[in-house]
Amino acid sequence: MPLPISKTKALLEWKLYLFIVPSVLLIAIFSYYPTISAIYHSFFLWGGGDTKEFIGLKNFTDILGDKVFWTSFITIGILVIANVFRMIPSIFLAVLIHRLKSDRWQYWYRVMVVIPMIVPGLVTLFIWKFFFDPNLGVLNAALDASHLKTLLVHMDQFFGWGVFYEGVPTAWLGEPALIIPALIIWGFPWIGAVGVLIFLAGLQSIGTEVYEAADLDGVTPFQKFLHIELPLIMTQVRLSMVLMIIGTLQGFGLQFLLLGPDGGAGGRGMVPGLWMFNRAFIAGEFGYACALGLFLFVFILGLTWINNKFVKVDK
Amino acid sequence: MPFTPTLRLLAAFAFFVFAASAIAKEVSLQSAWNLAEANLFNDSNKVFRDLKGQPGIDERERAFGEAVTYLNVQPRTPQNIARAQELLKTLTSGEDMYDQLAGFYLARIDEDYLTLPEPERAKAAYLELLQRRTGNPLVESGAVRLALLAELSATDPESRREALLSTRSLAQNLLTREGRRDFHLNLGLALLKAGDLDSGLEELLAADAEGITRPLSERSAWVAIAEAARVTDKKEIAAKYYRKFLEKYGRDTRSFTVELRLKELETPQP
Amino acid sequence: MKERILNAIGIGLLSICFVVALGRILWPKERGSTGEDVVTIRIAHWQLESGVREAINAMAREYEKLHPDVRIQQIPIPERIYPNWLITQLIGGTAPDIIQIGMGSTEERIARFFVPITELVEQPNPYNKGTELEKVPMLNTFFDGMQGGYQETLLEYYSVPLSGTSIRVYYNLALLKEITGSAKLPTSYRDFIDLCKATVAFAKANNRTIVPIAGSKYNGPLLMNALFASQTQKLMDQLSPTGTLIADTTLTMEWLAQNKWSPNSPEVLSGLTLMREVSEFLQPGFMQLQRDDATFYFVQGRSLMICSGSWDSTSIRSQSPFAVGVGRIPFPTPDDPEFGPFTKGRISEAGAVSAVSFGLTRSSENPAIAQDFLLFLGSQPANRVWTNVSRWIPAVVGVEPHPDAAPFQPLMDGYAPGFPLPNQANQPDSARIYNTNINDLFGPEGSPQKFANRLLEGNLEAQKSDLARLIRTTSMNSKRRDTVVAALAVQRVKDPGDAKLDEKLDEALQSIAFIERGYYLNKAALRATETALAKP
Repeated sequence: MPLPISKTKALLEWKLYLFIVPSVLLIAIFSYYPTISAIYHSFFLWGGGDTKEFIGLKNFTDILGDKVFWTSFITIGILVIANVFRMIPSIFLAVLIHRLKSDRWQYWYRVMVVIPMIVPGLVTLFIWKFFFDPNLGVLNAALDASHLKTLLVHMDQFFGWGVFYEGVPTAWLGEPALIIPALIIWGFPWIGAVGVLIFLAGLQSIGTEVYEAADLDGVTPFQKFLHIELPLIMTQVRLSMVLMIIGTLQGFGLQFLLLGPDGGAGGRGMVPGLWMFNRAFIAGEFGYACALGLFLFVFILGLTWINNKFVKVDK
Repeated sequence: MPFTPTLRLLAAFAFFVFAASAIAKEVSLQSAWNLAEANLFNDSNKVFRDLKGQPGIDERERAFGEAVTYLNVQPRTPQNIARAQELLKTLTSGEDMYDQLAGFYLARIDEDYLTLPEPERAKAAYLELLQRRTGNPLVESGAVRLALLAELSATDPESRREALLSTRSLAQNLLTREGRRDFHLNLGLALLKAGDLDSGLEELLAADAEGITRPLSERSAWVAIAEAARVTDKKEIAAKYYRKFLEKYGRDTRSFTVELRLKELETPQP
Repeated sequence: MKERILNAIGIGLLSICFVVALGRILWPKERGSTGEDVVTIRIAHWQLESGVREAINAMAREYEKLHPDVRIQQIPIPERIYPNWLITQLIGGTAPDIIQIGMGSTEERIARFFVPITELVEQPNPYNKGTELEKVPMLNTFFDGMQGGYQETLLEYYSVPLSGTSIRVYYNLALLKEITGSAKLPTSYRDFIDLCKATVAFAKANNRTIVPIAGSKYNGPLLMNALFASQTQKLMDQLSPTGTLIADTTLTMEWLAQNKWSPNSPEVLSGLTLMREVSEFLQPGFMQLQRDDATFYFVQGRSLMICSGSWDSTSIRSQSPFAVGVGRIPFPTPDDPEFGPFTKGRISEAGAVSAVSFGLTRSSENPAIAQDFLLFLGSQPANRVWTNVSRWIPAVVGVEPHPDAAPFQPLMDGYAPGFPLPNQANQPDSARIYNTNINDLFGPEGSPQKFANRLLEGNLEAQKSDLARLIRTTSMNSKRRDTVVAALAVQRVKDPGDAKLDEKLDEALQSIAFIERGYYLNKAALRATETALAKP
């Protein structure tokens, strides 16, 4: 921790503070100004242009009666829970890489995990959109080739889903009941490079003496993972989870690209961020969208506070 | 703190920025009105305010300009509307154009600008202004508003018809062609919608006699006149307006239908 | 020492980049540059379809021949980012001289950033000299009176249009010959359906993956919505016996609230049945596909037909390795056994308005030259170049369309269309109910009744929200007019002899009356909707 200096000395060296002015200006202009503008405009009837009318708290009271907004939290809740499970493959792969005896192979596996990062996320989304194509998509072709489609048809007949039919291509993004499964399936096998690297960094901080002691006690590989590795990387897991929850709650790019601004068939893919976009750019209610954004911000802040206060990790 | 060269440089830079931002603009009532006409309301309002107390400026005109621009200064706030109201109230004593226009805009504020509109107060104000027979087309547009408010006031078709018919007498207060035309046109369309074809037809014919210059309104009015006349068995009027429509507005999605209707009317019945 | 050199190189590179970037921002070369005595005029648009850029280039070269001291630079911007790009350019003061008006151009942006050209277009166009339009005011030289360039709420002309538009069905003629033995296009609805069935049978018999109609969430509705409107023609007449013969969104909403019609009305169910019947010939899951997907289907020979606008004609033809035929959407006729009872007949296209219109920005550094180029664009000779190169429909009277554009010329013989469902009229919340439930119309589990029930559930609430929004919008428009008309009224009294001012005030008053009527109609419709919702 840096030593404190006296006020007089600080004022004498005031020129040094000029070095942080550019960064402060950039943050002020590109981060704080838009946020303050959004807070300001949430109290207005605003169409996105110069014309606006002050309406006080009306936008916020309208949120209380907004059924679509509240229903979207159900969808986002499901996606958050699904994303928690989708973290598992990354942890699993990190453990596998960590346990490789050869440092060289560890390096090459890390490189192979990182290389796909150069593909922009948007491109991946478009590829997956193509995968979901009912007629030309890989997913339907794979299901047909593996005869899993037949199994799904039988299950459909048993459970009465009404989405899988023999000889009829499945519209993964066109059936309300399949929207959420599609949003969960995308990105299979759900191995995120950033996640793998974060977990790997955590695993590599575990000392070898811990493993040696475990070996002496006759601990199985799975027990090592459960009782040694997982607890010792819980800080990283927690960090990832917080970032994932915030990202999932705020995000809507995935849903917008795959399903459109209305959230797809039955509106099943509607999430709070997408509703905010819909209100702004489809309905032209920018002021209301700002109010939604503010509400979301407070909600996420609340969740983060709860997480920090109550989710503790024993070191 | 020593006034170092760095600080002097910063101060000079800041001064330059502030000085450079004071752009010289033409400041006159005409320029203010031009800005308002161009939808640049904030700029216009500023010019009107800057002109306050300047010699040679018509203060009533200036105050009126400031007031009407407050109605659209962004952001529109209750405070700005209140400022507009205050200014307009100062203009209502005086027998000139500004007194009439101020009265009109106070009624507009009551009608549509307040957080809780006062339609009854607005109606009374429009009526009082019309009864003064100002001969000002803008003030006379209050008659259109009274007709529209009457249409909205009633929930069942019969009451709506009665309310609309009760506004017909307003026409006698309208001295300008524009005032009469717009009133007859809107009342006529409202009466047709309420199911009173005869009265509606009369009003639309009166509007047409005054001369509807807006093409979209004219073509719709002619079709409405022809249709109402056809249904009420006034075949000559119907045929006349179908013909007028085809001659002037041949390229319209309704032309084919209008041609068929005209043919039907012109074909002698057995 | 090595480190010092590397650091110096790093700082040097960074400084150079910074200076270059700074220079480009402060002194952008391309903005009205007058280097070598040449003035550059920039023109931007979003029409990336085949033929358009070439046509604008061709017109630009023609203009440059007449004015060697002017250079025209075209800036095509992708449609998806055009609104964002437009706002950034306009607010940043770096907008090109001439910009296509439409996407992202709200009324207040147009008023603030574009120059009104009403006075200009009320005079004859000097570039029409030597033609039959020489003495005709420019606005009357367009097939629609230049409606495509008129801003109703601002009472001014702001842009010059270049083209007309229409919607047609494109056919793969080679495949058509394979299936039917001839290249004759279907003219009636029943022939159209028979052709679709024949295509399905052909594909099955030959084990080929061919669908009759390539669909997407863009192309499918173009065809189906047009067909739907044929089923509400007679209904509209019944609902509004002395109306103006045009479907009005607000009135149809009010009638819905008053239960004068509903999604369960026989006409509406018939329209939905018609849509479903046609949808069976589009590829499964078409509503999740994009416009490009459908186009690829067609040009790759996987479908016999595709429904799209005249704006896609050149793109489709240039990408198709086969001959492409173009036909009108085949509407059911009154004698059709199933869909005839509710239709009056084919739908007129006379109401089509000119499009692809360009306006002059206030930030142009060479407004006189830019304005002159705009006049040139709207002239008969330039429009001839436009249609011949782009193969799009011309907008100027007296210009013969290119043979490829001829099938797209709007056809006047037809009845006014019936009213669409309110959701089809682009009201955001009604459209959302429609779009998110339309899957209940299609597919093995779908049916017209099922979709109609969904609409019944959600329509009125959505309508209430849309009407509330419409009321706010019309109120804001009306309020904006208040100050403008006050300015005109005061000036007219101060300057009573000014005929132009008289005309402006007259138009403003009519426009306000029109907007106010719309405002109160919306209020009446909202009240009816709230009453309907309050009923148990």
